[in-house]
Amino acid sequence: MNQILTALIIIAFTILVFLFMKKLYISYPFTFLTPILTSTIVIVILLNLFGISYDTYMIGGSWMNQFLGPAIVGLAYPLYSQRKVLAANRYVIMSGVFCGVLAGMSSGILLALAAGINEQVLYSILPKSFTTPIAIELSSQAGGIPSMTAIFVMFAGLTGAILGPQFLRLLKITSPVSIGIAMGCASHAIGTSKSSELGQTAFSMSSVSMTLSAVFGSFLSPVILQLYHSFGF
Amino acid sequence: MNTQPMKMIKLLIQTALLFIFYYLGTWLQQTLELVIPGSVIGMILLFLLLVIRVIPAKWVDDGSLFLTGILPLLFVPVCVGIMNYANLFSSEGAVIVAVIFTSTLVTLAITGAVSQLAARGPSERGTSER
Repeated sequence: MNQILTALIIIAFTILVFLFMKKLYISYPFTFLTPILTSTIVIVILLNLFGISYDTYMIGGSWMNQFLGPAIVGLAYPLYSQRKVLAANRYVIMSGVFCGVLAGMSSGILLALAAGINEQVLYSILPKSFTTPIAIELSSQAGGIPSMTAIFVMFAGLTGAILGPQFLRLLKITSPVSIGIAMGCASHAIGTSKSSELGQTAFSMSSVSMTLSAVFGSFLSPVILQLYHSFGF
Repeated sequence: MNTQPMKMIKLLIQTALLFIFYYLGTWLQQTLELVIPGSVIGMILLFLLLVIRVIPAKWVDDGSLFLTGILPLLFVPVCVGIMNYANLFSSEGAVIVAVIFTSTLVTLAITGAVSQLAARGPSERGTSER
């Protein structure tokens, strides 16, 4: 009974913080005020202030996590309503995602090597661009630390959600199709939820790109690791 | 006034349907030992059933728009998990964060550039068709 009450209070608290941050973002639409980021910061500060552990917070948080899977399933609907645009752009999507997945994993390995990061952490960084459940799977397959990967996935997601649209505009990548594909490939579901602000086309491109990169990633990750090992590392 | 409860019931039923697809996807993943996550399998399955019209779009429209609309909110608890990794704010952590940050920007740039180049290529006929 007490557990349920705690969970409900935590969920209500999370929703309230989020709604407040969303309101703030609508009034001041600056990228660094993206509600996921500001809500996370406010909640972490408040939890620390009141000495509440993450485990206690997750009594309610894990209830919200239950909805993540079904919400991903729900992405099928925008995908379906945009199926003509998807079919028309199938080669663009395939080539973009394929190169993006390769770029994401190889740049992760090269940068980690250059920075002298140890092997286990490197394996945990490798699948950072994929949606959390698949990233965790690939991380443990590779010999990484899954909980660390979950955090890295979040970093990759937030980077794209916060800087993605501006960064792409700077590179003169302006078509909603390309922006959506890039956001989904580099920043999975967090990037996709940001893409929903950029219109229907970007949103559905981002969902399909996220899905396809998860599929490509599952097949390419062992290949990339094999290559990495064969270079004598 | 009368339509409001009906809408709520519709939303609940549709959300339940999405849960069923999620569990179905997870079950398929475990029985077939696939590497692709259950949620993604469920999504692909629902998409295919929508395309071949086994499931009419009006069975899932409201539930899907509701759940995908609150996706950013649903990610907050996962993101709050960062509080357990205070050492990521150390100097070694800063290096890791910098690597992920740079690699994500590289991924964005390459994916965006390749897809934009590909869009100018042979499939342009396809995109301008509609």
